[in-house]
Amino acid sequence: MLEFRPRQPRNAPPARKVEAPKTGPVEAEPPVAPGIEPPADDAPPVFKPAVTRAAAPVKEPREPSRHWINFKHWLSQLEDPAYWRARGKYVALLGVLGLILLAPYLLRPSNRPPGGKADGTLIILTPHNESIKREIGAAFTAWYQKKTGKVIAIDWRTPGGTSDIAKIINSDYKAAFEHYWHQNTGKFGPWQPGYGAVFNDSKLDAAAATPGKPAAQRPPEARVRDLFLESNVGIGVDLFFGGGSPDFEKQNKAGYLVAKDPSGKFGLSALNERNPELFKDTVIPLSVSGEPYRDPGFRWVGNCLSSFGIVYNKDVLKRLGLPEPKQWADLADPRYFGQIALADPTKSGSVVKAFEAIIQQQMRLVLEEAAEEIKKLPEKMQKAKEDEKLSVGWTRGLALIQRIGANTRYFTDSSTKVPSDVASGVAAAGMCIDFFGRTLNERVKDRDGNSRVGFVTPEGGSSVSVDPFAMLRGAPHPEVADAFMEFVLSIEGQSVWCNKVGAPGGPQRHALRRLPIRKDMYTPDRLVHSSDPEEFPYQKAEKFFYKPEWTAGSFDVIRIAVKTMCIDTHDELQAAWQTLAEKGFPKLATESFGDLRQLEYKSIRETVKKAYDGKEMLGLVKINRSFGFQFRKQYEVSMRQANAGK
Amino acid sequence: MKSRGSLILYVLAITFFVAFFFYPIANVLKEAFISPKGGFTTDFLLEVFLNPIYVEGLFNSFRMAIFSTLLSFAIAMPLAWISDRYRFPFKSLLTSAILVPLILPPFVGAIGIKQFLGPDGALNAFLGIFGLLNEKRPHDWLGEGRLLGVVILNALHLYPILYLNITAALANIDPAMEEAAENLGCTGWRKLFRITLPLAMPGIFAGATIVFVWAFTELGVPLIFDYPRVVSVQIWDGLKDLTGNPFPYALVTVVLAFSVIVFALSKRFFGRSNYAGAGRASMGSSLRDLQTPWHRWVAMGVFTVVTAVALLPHLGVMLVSLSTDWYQSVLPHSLTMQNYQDALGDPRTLASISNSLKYASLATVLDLLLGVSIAYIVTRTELPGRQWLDSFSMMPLAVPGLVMAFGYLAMTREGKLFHFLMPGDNPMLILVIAYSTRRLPYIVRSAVAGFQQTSVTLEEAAQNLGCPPGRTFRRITAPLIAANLIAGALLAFAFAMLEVSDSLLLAQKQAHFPITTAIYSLFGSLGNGEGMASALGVWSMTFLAVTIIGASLILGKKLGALFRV
Repeated sequence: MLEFRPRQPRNAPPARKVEAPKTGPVEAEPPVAPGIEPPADDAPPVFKPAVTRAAAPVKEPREPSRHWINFKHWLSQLEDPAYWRARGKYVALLGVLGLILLAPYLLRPSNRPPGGKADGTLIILTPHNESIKREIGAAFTAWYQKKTGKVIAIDWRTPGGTSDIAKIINSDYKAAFEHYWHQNTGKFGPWQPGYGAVFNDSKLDAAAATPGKPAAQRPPEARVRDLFLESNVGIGVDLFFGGGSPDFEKQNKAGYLVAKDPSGKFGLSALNERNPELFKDTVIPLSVSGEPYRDPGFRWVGNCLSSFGIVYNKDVLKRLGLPEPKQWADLADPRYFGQIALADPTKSGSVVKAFEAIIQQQMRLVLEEAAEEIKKLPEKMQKAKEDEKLSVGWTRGLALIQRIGANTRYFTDSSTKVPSDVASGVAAAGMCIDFFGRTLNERVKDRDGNSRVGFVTPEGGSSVSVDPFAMLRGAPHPEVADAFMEFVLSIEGQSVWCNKVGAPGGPQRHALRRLPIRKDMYTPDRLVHSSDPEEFPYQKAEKFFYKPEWTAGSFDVIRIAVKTMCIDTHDELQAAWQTLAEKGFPKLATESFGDLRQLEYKSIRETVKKAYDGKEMLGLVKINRSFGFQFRKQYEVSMRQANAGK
Repeated sequence: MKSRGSLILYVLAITFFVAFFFYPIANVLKEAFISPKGGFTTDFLLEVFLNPIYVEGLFNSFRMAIFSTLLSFAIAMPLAWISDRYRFPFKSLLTSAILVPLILPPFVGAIGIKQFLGPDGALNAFLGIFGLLNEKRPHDWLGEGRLLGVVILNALHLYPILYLNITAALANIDPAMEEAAENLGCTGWRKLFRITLPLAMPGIFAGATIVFVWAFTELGVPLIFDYPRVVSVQIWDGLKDLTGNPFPYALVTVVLAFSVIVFALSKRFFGRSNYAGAGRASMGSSLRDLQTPWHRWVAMGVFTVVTAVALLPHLGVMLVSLSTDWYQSVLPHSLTMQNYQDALGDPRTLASISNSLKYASLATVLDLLLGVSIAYIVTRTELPGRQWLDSFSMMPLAVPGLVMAFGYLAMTREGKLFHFLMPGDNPMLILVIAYSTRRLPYIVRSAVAGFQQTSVTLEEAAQNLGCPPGRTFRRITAPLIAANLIAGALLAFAFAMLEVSDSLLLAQKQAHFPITTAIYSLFGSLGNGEGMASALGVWSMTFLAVTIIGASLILGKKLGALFRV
């Protein structure tokens, strides 16, 4: 028991050659399933090792050799209790393993949707989470049943995040179009391999759109494109629901989205004809502050809003003696040292956009301060002065990021880590998307409805963008898809996004905490039922105006700046910042700390652009090194100066 | 006959290594040496040593690895020594349970640790009960711990590998040596340091090498402690960077070279003194009963305490899976099965369990075929270059998982030579190959140990009596090494189930997710993601714990032979 012993049966030949002489009783036994111990009493005493052994040797070499496993021999072995005793460990182990394996299958909840009973289906591709699917789905099916008397089953498909869905849509359309072509080879001519890269190329549309140009003069690829755009080729999916407006714009350009089905009766443009009030600036505007809210051609439309903001833990803030943050600049307070969770802009497009918004906010503030001064100047000099001020704003924005970065605990690439770390108190505050923060707020509510997690969208510091949906080309159920979009854009549907659980029109189990897109949802009588009655995203959106030309092409610049200034040099940055805070920010030391000359507005953009245009990766590596080197040095210098009290 | 058969196996094994080990690595490494214009360049490689941030990263990783190995040794050595010398109650159970910390499901392990060590976590709440906590400034164990925290966690995770090696090594020391020492007046500590330890050194170093390289390339633990300036995190950050910079591949090259050198040195100095098959001159058990109950309690206590501390993250995961909100308290306020219900209701969960079982068991079968062939060639044939084959088969231990995964991804891209291994984006074939390559060392080690411990004379006798080679293997050799193979296979299976990098990179569609990818994806779901991921994590922990304890009960001390260079 206490130490390892070699197992018995291997060294015990007796059990081996049983079946040879004793045919009758053994063969008559029903085969014993492995894993069940055979009842030892039933079997007559068939094992007579001595006799067997004496009789066997003559026959042995010939008999059992053909097969890898001699089944008869093996089965007969199973009847020997000694066999089982010796293998008890294995049997018990296998039994336990089998039990653990089967448990999830046996315990699986059996509330499968009653698939057979539905009068129709709706197939939706979506990256949305389970609560959204459940709540919106339940509300829509109830609404549809009330309206038409029909029961709809929704087939939700979530093959991954938005980028995965985009890949799947693309490859499925490619295959579907090729199939469609092969069916019509008589009409279209033979399929060429290159067509797969042409049918979804929006650049060919320019040629198609030129009026008065005879069709013959157009490139032959344009015909392929036309054939696709005229077709009703589908991928067996009705709707694409959720993601960002850039994703939908991409799908739209490829020609995968349609404004109406071939009959012209269903789709967003048909919805517009039925209900023209919906697509007005007072309900769903075309765009807000440079951010598109719907497609002018009615091929996609936003249905709820989202923005970046600050999620914070009220307990930790209280502990640190800090007020609840309202602005990005609040996070630069040195009392937040080591308490801020940030998302990593080098690894996500939406995060770098949020950093860009921080910088643009500072640029706008500087311009506003200098508005009088600029106005006084002669017109010729205004532009130059404005550029100068923009440069000041750029540096101020980066300096803000540098200070927030100095307070930062980590830069993560996981979008849910920030709100969950804030909720668990690992960080005091962090940057995340609004409904992530609000969902966590909802989740950690105590019995009185108070939550330790708060969220704020800094006024003027974040763009407010939309989560759209769209009908896909060749949708198999355009009528239901149309009804779904109509429902979600109706007051009833919009209420599901934002209302409290149990409130009229609200969700059944979980509050979704998303902000609806319809402007007329933000009226006092409707906000009564909302989970977030203080949120007025349209007012916030108007405070921020996205100026693409201010930071054009600087996504890579921002990435490099944050990487060299904060991420790569994080240890030195933190050490210098802490020393500065302890010594009360001596002037000279603070200046060396915040010296951002190497990231100057014009020069850095030119340097980085040159490296990228020339595909000079090595140049990029060197930029990274030299900037990082410089920052390390200046943080060390700053620390020395601060310690010397300068 | 025999030689032709072995020759075919030999060629097959070499082909496998070239195609699925060297080729993918070469695919990754060449990125580091190609300049953007297409020529050869060493500038990227040079950059690693020019940029002080990366030099420091390498240095920190090195420190992390050294300290983790030393601490693992400090934990494992007394345990191994007690287990080798004394009998005490529940010994076989305790010595098996000590191995369980080896299996910590990825991602959720971090949640468990965070729940204990966060400023509002269980440890601070516990200290608060005794008034040891400054309410205004609670300890930030994660943020302040850094290197120390990483080292402790690494050691608590990796000591089982050393423990297994040291017990195997101690078991092989001839008691006559120690008795002779005692006769000559060398006793106590002096005997330990002058006689026992030097004799056990090869085994200790063999295990230490694995622990060292494992800790050197460890990614998850530094990420938990937000300790970015180590080389594994720098590689991870660089590879995920959107700027498309090939520089991280240069970093990979350096890490790979470093790991291979450590392995080669260890093999050069300690690999040759092969004690596994040497046997000892005098037999007889050196096990002694512990005399007083007090001693017995101490022995049991040491094992229990180490296991319990090392299992704290596992316990954390379990509690997270059973709670909705666990905050500022030693234990969660209320327990619920909601997370399990949600996880079972999610389509990803059950699909991933079936997928992982499929991938991991196929990989184990492939491993067994390859491993036994390689072990046979190495121990039973005189084919030239078989020692190289032996070394190759250990090399997957030296290559960070991420590198291999990127290699596999690159070679199965559309239009590449091995694209047929991923038909219609179904990663099953390539995942099976990836899992089996990475876990091959365990099977090769266990099979080689089995062959070496089994006298070749038994096979020769069978063949003298006219038994053909295939049948000899089936009837004589296989039954004799079965225990080794079962244990090796179980371990390979367990680690295949927990494989992270390959799974994350190669399984892109939800329908093909293995468990690790499903945990990652559930973890990212908003709201109850942590709970659902923990629920699936608890299931896989339970399953693998039973597997590991089973392997250890079946094999006992022989398990140690698996984690050697």
